[in-house]
Amino acid sequence: MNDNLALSDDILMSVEKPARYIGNEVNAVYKDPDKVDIRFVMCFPDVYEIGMSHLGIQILYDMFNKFEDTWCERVYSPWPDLDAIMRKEKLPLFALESQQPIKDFDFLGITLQYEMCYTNILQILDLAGIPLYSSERTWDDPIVFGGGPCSYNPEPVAEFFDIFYIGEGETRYREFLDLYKKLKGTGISRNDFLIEASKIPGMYVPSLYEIKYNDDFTIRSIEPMHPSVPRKITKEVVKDLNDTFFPTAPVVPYLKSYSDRINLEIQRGCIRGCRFCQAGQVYRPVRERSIDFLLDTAVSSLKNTGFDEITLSSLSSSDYSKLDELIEGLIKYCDENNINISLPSLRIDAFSLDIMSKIQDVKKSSLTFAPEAGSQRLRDIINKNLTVQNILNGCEQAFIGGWNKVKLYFMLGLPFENDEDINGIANLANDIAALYYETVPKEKRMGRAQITVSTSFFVPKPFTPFQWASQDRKEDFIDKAYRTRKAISGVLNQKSIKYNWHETDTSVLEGVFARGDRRLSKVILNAYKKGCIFDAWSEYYKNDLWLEAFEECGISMDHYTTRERPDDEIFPWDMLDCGVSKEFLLREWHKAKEGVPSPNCKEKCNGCGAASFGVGICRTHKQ
Amino acid sequence: MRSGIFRCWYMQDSQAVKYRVKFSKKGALRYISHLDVMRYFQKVIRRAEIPVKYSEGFSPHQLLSFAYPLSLGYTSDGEYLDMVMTERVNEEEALRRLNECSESGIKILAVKELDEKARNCMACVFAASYNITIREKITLPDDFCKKVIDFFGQETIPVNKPKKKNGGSVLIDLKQYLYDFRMIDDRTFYICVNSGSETNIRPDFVAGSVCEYCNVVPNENPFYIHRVEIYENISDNENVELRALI
Repeated sequence: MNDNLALSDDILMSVEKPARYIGNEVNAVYKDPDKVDIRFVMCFPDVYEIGMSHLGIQILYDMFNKFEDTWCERVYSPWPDLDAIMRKEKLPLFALESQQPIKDFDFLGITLQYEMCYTNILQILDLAGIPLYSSERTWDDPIVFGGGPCSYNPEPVAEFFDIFYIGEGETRYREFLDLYKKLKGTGISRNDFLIEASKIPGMYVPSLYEIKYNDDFTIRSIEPMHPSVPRKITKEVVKDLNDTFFPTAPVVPYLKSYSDRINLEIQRGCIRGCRFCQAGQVYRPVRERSIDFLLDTAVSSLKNTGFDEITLSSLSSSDYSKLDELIEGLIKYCDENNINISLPSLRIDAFSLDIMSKIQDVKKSSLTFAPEAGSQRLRDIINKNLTVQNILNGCEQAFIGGWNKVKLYFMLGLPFENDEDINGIANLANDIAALYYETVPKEKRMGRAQITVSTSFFVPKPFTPFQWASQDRKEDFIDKAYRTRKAISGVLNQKSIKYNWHETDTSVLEGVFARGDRRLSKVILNAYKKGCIFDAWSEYYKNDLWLEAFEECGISMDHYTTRERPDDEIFPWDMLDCGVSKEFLLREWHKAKEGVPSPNCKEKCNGCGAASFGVGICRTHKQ
Repeated sequence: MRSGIFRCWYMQDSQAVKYRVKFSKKGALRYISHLDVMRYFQKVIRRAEIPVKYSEGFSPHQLLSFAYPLSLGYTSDGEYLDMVMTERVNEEEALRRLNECSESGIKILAVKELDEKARNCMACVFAASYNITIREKITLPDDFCKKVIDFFGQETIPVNKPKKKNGGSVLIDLKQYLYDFRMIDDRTFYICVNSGSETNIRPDFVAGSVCEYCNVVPNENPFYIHRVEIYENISDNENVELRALI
């Protein structure tokens, strides 16, 4: 317990939800600062309730604090109300546990979960009093680490970070901390230390690479500036997910976070290889955790936290090989202890529905399916491997089981999309509604079928087969959303269908950063200085300021978004290697153009390159 | 929370036993809202493996009932909740286990079995006592103490009490709802006031009225308020006889 708070009572009483800033949560770790060598602070650059929902930080927090010489704390973005007060009163940003300024820490680790948090990174550095550019920092500043999915192309924020950790955090931090302890204080310069650090696998030090550009604004070359710095940084992979760090006593927030439950990661990676999906490529190969590990972890973490819900998380839970056994084991404990189980990311099949009906209240819940595209042609292009028949069968089983609410997720703006694909969304929704009325006799219906169609706009991501594709313009997005709405209002069962779509401006900006390069750092800083912050929050997103920022820096957004890349273009992230080869991705891109799907990893190895890690499904296949 | 579900449910199960829990809320945890405290206790009870009774239905919830919400920022030595257990438990053991599973800012002070017919704690609330401190940042006149004593010593204490709805205020005699008063130090006084569901006298309202009487301008966040105790009225006539909920 630490009652010595950084913020005064007057400040805490004047901001929304002061519990965001007081720490002291159940299972938060407190250590004596005099008895540790290393002070680490992990940051999720968004508001507390979002950040506290994130499993990755909980894993690393647990890991670092198991190291006796290290105290790892947490920090989140102060909400705009507190942000204004901290600037006015010149209060330094502090870590939740010790309530001490993070500028005095050895390390600040920032997770990059989505592109729209980039200005919040600058907010964190700025409020902490840490120079924004890595090049301006000294030994008086913490070493600033980046990690998480966006670090697979960290270039737009590369100049703000000292090191990016590429891949899974469980593997190399110990080695890194030992190096730090050995070298710090020996008189070594910060830059020389970073050169030493870059020799540890998975450590990408952006300042050690020189990027040269062509006249047409594309990249000509990426060169390490020092002979001992590796040309390629290969992502780190946990070899055995049953023998690694995983928290059994995660921190329990007082505030209701977005994920107010135990988050149990049952496997990492995905066998499917959908061509739009970055997670499906960069987390390869699929590695499952054992039933024993999962049941033990589930029980102890429920006991240690008091949560009344547990969610089994993975990219595609139906593909976990012993899902039925796991659920059976969990149901027994959970029923006895009044604990709910939630299972997102299931594919449409009868088996899934059987499980769902065991763990959910059919009357209240809705089923969510993600066909992603409206026609079979386009689903083949994106390699979704899902037929109309699969979808309709799944829905029919659901209707028989008593569900009447179905949510359908689609993407607009996928490569090679045409009018028929858009009409296909409306027709599929209509067919599903019609199927409800055919399947469920009038007297058994719980009112009308409730089909919710949601579309988001496709943003091509690095390390996917679609990294070469052009992204739609804002006008195309709006037009396609309009046409989808019109098509839906034209079908017979339109009264049973509700349509939502995602905003367009942020999709464009997300697209710029997703495949952006280092020259964008100055745009992000410019936008931040103009007042852009919390861009992921529509009420704070200021598109006009972003447009001004690009204009003033003389950088065109279209260069990054709407341009289809030639096969041999050098990408800003080409110094990184996620295990899946560029050749494989290119092969997949060409197959997409021909509308040819690929088998999943369980059916047949496609030779993506991830077998080089020699773990998980790649190893099983070999045997 | 004021619904009757709690009582009528309890009547149906002869095995179930009702307990009252008293706790304090202090330090950094005073910035946790009432809603968060409720969710906090659900988890404490699970961690402590207390045999709490759950409601029926597809998403069962624990049968808990809190006495009287504490405003965010206040501290307290007198918070209460009632819970139904599936079986009789040892009070000392329950107290120990709850404390082991609670952060030190929320400390369990007592666990007591209730009579089968006891009203739930929310229905019992009749009055509450507070220590109210005027913060140092507010300049007080030299004769502040005397004036506060004058204020509470009046034959009648006419004050404009804000209405719950549609704004506006109604003139009441605070004296009728005041059961105790004393000065604690130069800036702190103790009051015990009515907290019934109909005429709930808020401590910050009383403090504001005191300031008005003393010509003190209370700016932002002027008071530090600590709840001392919550009382029920055990008198069976028109008089008021207060007894702490435990």
